[in-house]
Amino acid sequence: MSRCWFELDDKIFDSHPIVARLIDLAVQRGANCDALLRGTGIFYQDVQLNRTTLSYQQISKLIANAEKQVTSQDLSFLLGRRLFPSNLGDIGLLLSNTRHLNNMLRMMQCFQILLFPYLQTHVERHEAHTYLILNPAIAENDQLRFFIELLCAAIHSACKWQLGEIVPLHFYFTFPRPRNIYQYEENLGFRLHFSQSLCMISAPNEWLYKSTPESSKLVRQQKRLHSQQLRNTQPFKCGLIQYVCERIRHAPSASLEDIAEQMHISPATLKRKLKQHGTQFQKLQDRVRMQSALFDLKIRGLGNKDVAQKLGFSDLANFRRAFKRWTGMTPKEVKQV
Amino acid sequence: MNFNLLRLHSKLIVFNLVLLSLALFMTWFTGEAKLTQHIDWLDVTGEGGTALMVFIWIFFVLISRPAGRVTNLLVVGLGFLHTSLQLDLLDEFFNQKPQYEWLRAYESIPAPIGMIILTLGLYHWHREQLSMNAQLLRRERVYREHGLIDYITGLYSAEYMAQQIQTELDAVQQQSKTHFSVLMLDIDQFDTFVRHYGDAQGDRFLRELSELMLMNIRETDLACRYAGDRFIIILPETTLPEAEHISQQLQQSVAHLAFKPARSHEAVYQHISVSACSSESCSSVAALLSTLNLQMESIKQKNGKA
Repeated sequence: MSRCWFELDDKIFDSHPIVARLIDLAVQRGANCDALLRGTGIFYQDVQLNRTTLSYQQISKLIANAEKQVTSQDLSFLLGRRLFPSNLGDIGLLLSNTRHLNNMLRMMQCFQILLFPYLQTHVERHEAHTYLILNPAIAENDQLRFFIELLCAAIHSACKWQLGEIVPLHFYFTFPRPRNIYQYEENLGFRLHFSQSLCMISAPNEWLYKSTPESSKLVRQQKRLHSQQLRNTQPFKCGLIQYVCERIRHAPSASLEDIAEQMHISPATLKRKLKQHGTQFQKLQDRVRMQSALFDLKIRGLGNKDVAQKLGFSDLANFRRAFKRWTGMTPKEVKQV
Repeated sequence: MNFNLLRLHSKLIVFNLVLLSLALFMTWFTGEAKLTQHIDWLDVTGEGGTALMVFIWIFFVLISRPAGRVTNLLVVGLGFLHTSLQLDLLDEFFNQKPQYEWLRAYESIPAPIGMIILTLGLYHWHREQLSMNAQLLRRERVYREHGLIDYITGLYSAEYMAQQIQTELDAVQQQSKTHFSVLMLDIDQFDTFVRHYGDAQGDRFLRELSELMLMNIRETDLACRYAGDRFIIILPETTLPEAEHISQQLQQSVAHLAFKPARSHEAVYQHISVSACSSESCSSVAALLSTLNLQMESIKQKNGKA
């Protein structure tokens, strides 16, 4: 049986939207083309003629080279700002013709594999706000931050493009205040929060339902159909880590063996694959549960008991101990921060 | 490393190769090879190492400098010096034939000549550097750090700017200077411009805009690139009303800049929004920048020109 997730060495990505533009931008900023492609296994001519598909590994290596060659630290933001809508083909047209931002968000979720398979996005809602939580989808490596910056810049500029004004999005990052903070402020606005426990974007709901001035229902339906057809031809559903995390979210206390069985592979194979993708099963399970617990405690304001029950803990002491292990703090301390 | 400049120096490269082969030829012709056991390898390492280093210096001068008098003097001077060292090194491998013994005396002549030319070159380099510094005025102040220069505009980056604002704040606190002002400039609807004309034209526009800004500020001021299409200008010993006056002049001059994308003769006009802040109201770099950023957002929101 063929697998429905893809791995870091599967050559499935079209080079057009990100890779070709990244090469262009880096060369314009003084990078040497040979040094840029060194070790990536990408050939300039193949990209030029758009006759190649690339793996996540190759793209990551290219990004690492580009960051070494170009010191301006704004490549991810520049790429993100221009991604939407013209660099996304049919799916870009679909997104730019959505009724309102909430509709756009839903389409983004539906067509993630076509749009931005590098990161897993997960929507949570509470009261007047909607939250988009970002996590790695394929592998955990040093280029994750680049993809996060890229996606944040893309979402920020897409919202601006749709409504014609700046949407007051809040950005939460797990890493500390970076050196290129100026790029963040210029490209994402100044509602930035660093050293947070969750990586997410939040938006006030009243903005999500403002209707988009220039949307066409007909174009939307047509492009949605196209995108669905295109999605159905994809052999894969999502990246490996995203696939495993989604399984864990459905069954928070499932073991490595359970998940491997669902994936029709042996536990040893799953273990090896996860290691190859820079992570471990325990880490992923802890993260899924930690994120769920943090969101419920801090943002939803639920009590320990409810959170523990939701995650399948049999007693409270166990939950408290596990929580302390995940975050280094007790649930009470986290609530007070 | 970038070797593009090498192409400009073909004559200098030929000159050095000729010197090198001349030294080799002379030693070969006038000497006979020593036996291996007579070679002092310690001397060879020492002299060879020195010769190699001077050769590397020549190489770095060639790849870093455009053609011109200063470059010629430096390379020729170093070339002569290198020849002397080369002859010294070859001496370790060859014994002079008796009838050419008198040639030994000439071996050390190239070195002092080279030194004199090199010194002359360094003097002219100093003169050249003074005029370059004058050219860099309004782009750079007191402190040089090439790692912080922005590739696109040639201005210093936000990190340099933050250091300079801190220096100014310190000076104000020690009461050695009066209060200063800072302007933040942002191009209106630059995204639309880039979508329309492409990144390369966008970069060119940023470069030309920064030239224009430099023309519009005083000799004491400093312009930096903040990020993207946003710039910062530091105006030392300037009150807020004065700063706002300069800001208006900047806006007017940008509005009149007839930028021609690529080969088109149709001009595109852009506008900028400017926010201003004085050090009187802020006591830290972060506070100053966040005031400017906040102001900028409300200006843009008001004009509907995100």
